[in-house]
Amino acid sequence: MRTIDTESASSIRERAGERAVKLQLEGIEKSFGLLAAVAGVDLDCYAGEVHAILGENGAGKSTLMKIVAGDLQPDAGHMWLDGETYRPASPKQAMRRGIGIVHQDHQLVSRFTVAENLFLGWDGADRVGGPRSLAEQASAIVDRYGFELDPTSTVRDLSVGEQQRVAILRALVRGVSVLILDEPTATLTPQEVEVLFGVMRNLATDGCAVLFITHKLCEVLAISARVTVLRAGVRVAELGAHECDERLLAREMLGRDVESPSKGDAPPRAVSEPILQASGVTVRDDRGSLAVDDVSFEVHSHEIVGIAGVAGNGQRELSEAVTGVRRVASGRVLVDGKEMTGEDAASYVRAGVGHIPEDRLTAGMILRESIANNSILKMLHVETDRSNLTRGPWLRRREIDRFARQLLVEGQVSTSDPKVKVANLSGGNIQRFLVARELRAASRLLVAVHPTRGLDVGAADRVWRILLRARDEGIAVLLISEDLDEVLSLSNRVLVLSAGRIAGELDNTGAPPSREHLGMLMGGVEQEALVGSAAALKGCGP
Amino acid sequence: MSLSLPTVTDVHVRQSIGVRSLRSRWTWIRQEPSETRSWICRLIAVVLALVVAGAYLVITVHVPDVLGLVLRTTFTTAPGLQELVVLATPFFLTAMAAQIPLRVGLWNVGGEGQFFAGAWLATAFAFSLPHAPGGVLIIGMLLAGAVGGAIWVAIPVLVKTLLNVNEIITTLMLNFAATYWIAYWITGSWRYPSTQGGTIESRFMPAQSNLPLIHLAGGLDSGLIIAVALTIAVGLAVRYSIFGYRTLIVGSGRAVSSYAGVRVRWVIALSLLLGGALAGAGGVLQLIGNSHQLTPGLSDNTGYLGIAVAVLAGGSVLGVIVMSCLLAVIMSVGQAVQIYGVSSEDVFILIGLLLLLATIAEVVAKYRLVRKVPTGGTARVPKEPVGLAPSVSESSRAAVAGDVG
Ligand SMILES: Nc1ncnc2c1ncn2[C@@H]1O[C@H](COP(=O)(O)OP(=O)(O)OP(=O)(O)O)[C@@H](O)[C@H]1O
Ligand SMILES: [Mg+2]
Repeated sequence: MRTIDTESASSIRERAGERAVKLQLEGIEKSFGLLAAVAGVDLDCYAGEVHAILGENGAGKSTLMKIVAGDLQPDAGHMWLDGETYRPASPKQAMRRGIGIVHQDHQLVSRFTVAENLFLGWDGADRVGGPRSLAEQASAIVDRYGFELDPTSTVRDLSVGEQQRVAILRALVRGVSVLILDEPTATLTPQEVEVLFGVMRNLATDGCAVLFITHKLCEVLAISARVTVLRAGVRVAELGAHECDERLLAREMLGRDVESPSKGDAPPRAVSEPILQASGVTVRDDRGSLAVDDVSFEVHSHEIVGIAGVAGNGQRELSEAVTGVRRVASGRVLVDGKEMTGEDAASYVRAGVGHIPEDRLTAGMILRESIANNSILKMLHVETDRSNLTRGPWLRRREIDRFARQLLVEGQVSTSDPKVKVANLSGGNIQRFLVARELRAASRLLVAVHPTRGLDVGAADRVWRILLRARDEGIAVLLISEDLDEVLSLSNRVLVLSAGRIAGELDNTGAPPSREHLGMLMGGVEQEALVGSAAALKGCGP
Repeated sequence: MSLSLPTVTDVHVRQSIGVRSLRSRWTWIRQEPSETRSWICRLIAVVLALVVAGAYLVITVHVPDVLGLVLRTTFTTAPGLQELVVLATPFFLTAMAAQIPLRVGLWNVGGEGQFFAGAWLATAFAFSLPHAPGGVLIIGMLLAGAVGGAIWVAIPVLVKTLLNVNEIITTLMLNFAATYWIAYWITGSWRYPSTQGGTIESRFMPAQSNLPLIHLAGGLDSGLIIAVALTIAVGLAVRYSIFGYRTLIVGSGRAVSSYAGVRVRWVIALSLLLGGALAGAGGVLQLIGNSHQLTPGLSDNTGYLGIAVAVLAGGSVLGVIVMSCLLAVIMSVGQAVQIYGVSSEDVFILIGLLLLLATIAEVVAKYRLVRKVPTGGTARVPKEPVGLAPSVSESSRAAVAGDVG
């Protein structure tokens, strides 16, 4: 077996305080057809520790966690919980044994309210009082954990980040002794990440075991005691977090080093031309309230314009307005000087606009359909692609399969079979596929919302390089991200969006703007804290 | 190194939810939905429904030798076979009329009305050109029927796309309107002169419009061939066309549709109109293939039963064909046993039972019953925790050392 470093072992034991093993896995295996998603994994998780699981996209992290939570049955292997044999036949049984899970794709009932989702399938709530009582109980819980949520709103209307908060609370209210968090921070703001970390620490102090999946290495180092690294379904390392740094973690994960790309100098403004022009754009959100209020800006070729701001300040609506997904209430949008106001997404695609949406699972993809069917979601609007992929009113299935295969190669997706259902890809692989497809569509402008969400460090790095290369080739890029580091290290200019308005425009070609200044622009004291915490988590970006 | 344990070896087992089982030692595990498995379950449901029906016939009505009767009345005799075909033909198109809108998530429950509307317009066409040659008349009537069915669904389409009025209500209500519309004409100017107070029906269609019999198995109805051909053609067209692909996008929700830039209203309108046209053509086939007169009993509930067929068939065209035939068998046997005093309501009860069981089967197909492994209790002593000591692969350890030094 492996060499045992007695010194580190003792220090671990010391920090674990000779605590009991909470959860033990041994030789867990799970295959899907020929693919061994999990190929014999051992894992020990102690009471009172935050245990991080790291691995590339498709390494088998989510599959392993679903096995622990009773969602999937293992093909082989054995589990113990508190020293007793543990083999849940269903999520409900796992829940009864105190296992809580927050899935990567939240799995909420979209037509139910927040409160209804929190209490669904749980006997602990008092249902006699009806919806109002449920909402009151829910808001008590929301307040207790310090998340911002309206318990009466319907989940369908919530942003991805808000849905994430619901999913986390849903696991927490059930009183867990093992909490599994599958990439919870991908869609949270830095503030909320801090809140979540506080919750996790409290749980650990109370003797709970927390299994935490993330692709942000800085978060691993910030919160976890130990790290298990998976590669292609096999555990390749188990490390104490105190003896790691990000480089080491990345190397364990990918088997190679990752180097951050440098932004490089943008070509001089003289050669660039405005590609996206928005003037006085006003947009309403699903609930009808003003989300973007009289915003004007331009994105030129050969430049990346970043939009920074706290989530929920109009980023989503703005991105939808400049891609034709959402109608503008007033104002004008021009692409390549052509009037696009009021046009639908099809016209934007024809104008060469690619769009990586915030909501990749419900808007960007049809999960129950094949990769082939998803690859042509927008391509049929473009004349050149259309003539290739169709004949008259008919689809040319063989050509479509070939096209899909190209996208799979370009996106470095884990499968090469276009007949695979998108739902069977891992979260990160879905994002890789989506990015590849939208880069194809973006011949003039790419609107990228959280382009690296859910990607492992290697894949994220690749997407950053691709964005920079697209910029160098003359494509205009509008980058919308909550990750301040991502925005600052890629953009030539940064626009700060606050309460639906542009609070400021900063030049980012020379020395980066000060984070204090950014925080001020994002709006007030609260955001100072945000920038502070973003700085605390520094290193998460490229 | 791993201890052996009874394991569930089905690699497709994906998700499971607990269902309180009869015996606590067994439990249901949810599994990956699979086409074949769901078809097997539906087949079992059909057999089960037939067994129940057979038992009912033997026990309460004392029909001897039910199986023999079924075979005698349906498969083995030419008239039986012919009757089967006559019964099956209209189901194909009314089932498609429900299935295509279902792709975009809409319920067209107005097949009955569209069926009549098609038959009506075709009758009008035939009566205005009574001396046209047979070929012209047949094709013209089929086209008129398609137009009539489409017109009948046009109002639901308009209010759905413009005002978002629920299509279930509008299409259903228009069924009743169609019945009265037909009654108005066949008691009025189209009335068959010799009917005196008895059943009301229209004059006969021009003789040259009657569909020819094909001399196969004692005379197969060519209407069946047209219906099957149309069903397969439309099914394939929807599957391999851009329009069919767009229905799939629209059926996946508003968010995807607006992201993909699909004109939802157009797709909704086209799928409903196509459904209406098919139901209308179905009405014409019944008219020129079977009854040759426009009567209130022309449809005999085919419009409604088509919805049942569409549900049983899921999204597949083959399913429509198989389920239509099955329904025809049941109807045909139902007619045969009426001589023993079994009422036609009983036949509908059987169809209801079949639908119920098939729906249950659909759900059951997603689960699998497995033996529960006892949880809790110290069944095994956990071994000494592994991996307490961190194990770093040699290369990266060296790298760390390098960084420090
Ligand atoms: N239901 C399924 N059917 C077929 N293959 C599956 C299924 N679920 C997962 N897989 C495959 O198993 C592998 C592991 O997937 P998993 O979701 O565990 O990855 P992951 O480590 O969570 O990746 P990510 O970081 O992208 O979320 C992937 O290659 C995926 O395609
Ligand atoms: Mg995952």
